[in-house]
Amino acid sequence: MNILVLIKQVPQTEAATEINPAGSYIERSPVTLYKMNRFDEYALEEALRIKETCPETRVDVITLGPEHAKEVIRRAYGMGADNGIHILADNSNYLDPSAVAARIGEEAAKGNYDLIFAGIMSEDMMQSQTGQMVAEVLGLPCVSSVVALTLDERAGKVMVKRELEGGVRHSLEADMPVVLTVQAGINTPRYPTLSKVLKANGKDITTITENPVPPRQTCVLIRYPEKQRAGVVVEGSRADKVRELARILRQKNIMR
Amino acid sequence: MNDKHILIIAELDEDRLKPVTFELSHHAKNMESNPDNILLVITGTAPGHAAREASERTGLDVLCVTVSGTEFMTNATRKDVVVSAAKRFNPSYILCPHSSEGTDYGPGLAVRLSAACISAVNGITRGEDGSLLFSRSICGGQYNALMKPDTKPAVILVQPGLFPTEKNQGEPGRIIAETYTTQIGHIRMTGIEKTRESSSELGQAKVIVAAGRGVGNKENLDAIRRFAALFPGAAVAGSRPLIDMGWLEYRYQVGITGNVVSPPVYIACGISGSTQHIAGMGTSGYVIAINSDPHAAIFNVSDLCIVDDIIGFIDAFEDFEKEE
Ligand SMILES: Cc1cc2nc3c(=O)[nH]c(=O)nc-3n(C[C@H](O)[C@H](O)[C@H](O)COP(=O)(O)OP(=O)(O)OC[C@H]3O[C@@H](n4cnc5c(N)ncnc54)[C@H](O)[C@@H]3O)c2cc1C
Ligand SMILES: Nc1ncnc2c1ncn2[C@@H]1O[C@H](COP(=O)(O)O)[C@@H](O)[C@H]1O
Repeated sequence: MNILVLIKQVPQTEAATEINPAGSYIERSPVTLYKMNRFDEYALEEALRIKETCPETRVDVITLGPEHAKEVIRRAYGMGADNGIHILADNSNYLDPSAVAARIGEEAAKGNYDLIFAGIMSEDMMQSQTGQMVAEVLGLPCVSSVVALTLDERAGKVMVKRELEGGVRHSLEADMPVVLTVQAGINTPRYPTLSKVLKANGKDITTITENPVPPRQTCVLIRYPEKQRAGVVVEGSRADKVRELARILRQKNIMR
Repeated sequence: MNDKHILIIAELDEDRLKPVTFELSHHAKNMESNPDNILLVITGTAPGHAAREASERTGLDVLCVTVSGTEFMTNATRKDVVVSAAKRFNPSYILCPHSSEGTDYGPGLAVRLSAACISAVNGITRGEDGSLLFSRSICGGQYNALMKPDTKPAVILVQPGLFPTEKNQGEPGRIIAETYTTQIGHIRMTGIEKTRESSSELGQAKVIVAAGRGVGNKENLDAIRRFAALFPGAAVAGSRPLIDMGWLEYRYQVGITGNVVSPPVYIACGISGSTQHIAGMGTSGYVIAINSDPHAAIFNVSDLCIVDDIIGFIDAFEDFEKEE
């Protein structure tokens, strides 16, 4: 079986980015650190588990982003991925998911994949679109928000559960090839192993140069969200903050 | 048939309309002053009752598509139905809920129509040139982005629960009834499961102390529990990643895919404040957030903000209380 996993490099939540001077997008700051999108770790783990149970399975990963996006491919190698494809693209302006999906779809079409995994959402752009769009570009069926997966390789199909709001789940059966977007909690993603990480350093990454697709939407303005509540910041030392919180909680009769 | 400026795609829970449908009609009427230019699309295996309710409650025309040939309709079928409606009614905007279902069919629908797709929309405004702009939260809620679609139609997925529903005073709209026969496709739905085990503990709590990934590890949940024990009638809850990692049971999850809670006091400990979490606690009485990152989005929805390491802070708080 051939499996492709879409992995995206995103800024770490705590090591924040900044708004660019034009106010039109975000840019990296001196403290920005990057990581693999958390939901994509679950997607990759699901693929690696299939590889462990089905002989002759190949797991490829693909990412679209600037030069430093290669780091997520190295991490994926460290976790056990076989081949990495990097579509080199400048992401200093907003990238329309339909354009990202068109580029990823074009590469995915060459690979004869039985299963394509994506994360349910990227932590930075929070769109929950790209995986479903890749499916449509390729004319493949798609199930999003997958929280359980059983593979029937002989019958060429997967049995999945997809999660809706408030604890509702739908059970579905889908013929392969199929695109699945994976929700967190489906598994426990493994950490890269040292031996694989060492090997990954010498491993090739197929790099494809940019071939931009016209966007269908524009990001006009980025701003900080408005405060929806008082947002009083407790100032001072830790002792001051402790005292102030205790005072407020007593005043509200929350604490004796 | 006349063109329609906006199509609204209704969402059903089995055969009943979900409230988000009326939130979408409220939006549509803000975007388009003439309700005759708005069409509500309801697709289902037995959508008749919902269609009547929608036409009465919104006064809008309703396209009611009854799907046959299957027990459970899939989103692949819904996509086909909406593509066909979009080709006939030539809308500028197609409004869908940003729900699990909406995000399942919306992006693919957009690709089929060569349309822009703007998801998780939390506000609709007009730009200086009068064009409609759609705001959405990015980077875990750190920023808001204003997006402009460059295509006709544009598929817009609107976040449920943020806006009022509406009630029509006037005449019900017309119902256009159609049927659609599906073929058995590459995706087949085999069942529906409801695993809702909502925690009455959270429903009754005076204080909810909620832990997030910022607590660091499972052992540190003990500190959160000791902290909660200082407040009579308090319960411990968590953000989704803690449930995903098995640190807490599902019934303690707060958020769009967990419990929606509204206690008098909500204390968010090491929680970033993503939209999906806020959807589950945004109406709490008084919100206190403790987070080491001064830019964390949770502070935008908090009454009281404490920037500190959560475990260090709780230890100091306990020491202070012992001395008192
Ligand atoms: C379809 C869908 C449904 C979802 N449903 C839900 C849901 O129901 N509920 C839910 O919660 N999430 C849900 N999520 C996940 C959501 O998008 C976020 O990923 C999640 O809420 C983040 O959890 P968190 O705030 O605990 O973790 P993070 O976002 O990782 O934030 C951790 C926070 O802790 C802070 N921190 C770090 N170290 C410390 C320290 N030492 N002291 C103090 N603070 C510290 C950081 O600054 C950061 O703000 C859903 C996602 C999707 C796609
Ligand atoms: N630039 C990218 N490179 C690789 N995969 C991506 C990229 N953008 C999005 N994806 C995939 O699509 C999923 C959903 O992203 P989004 O539509 O941005 O929420 C992510 O979890 C990834 O699996």
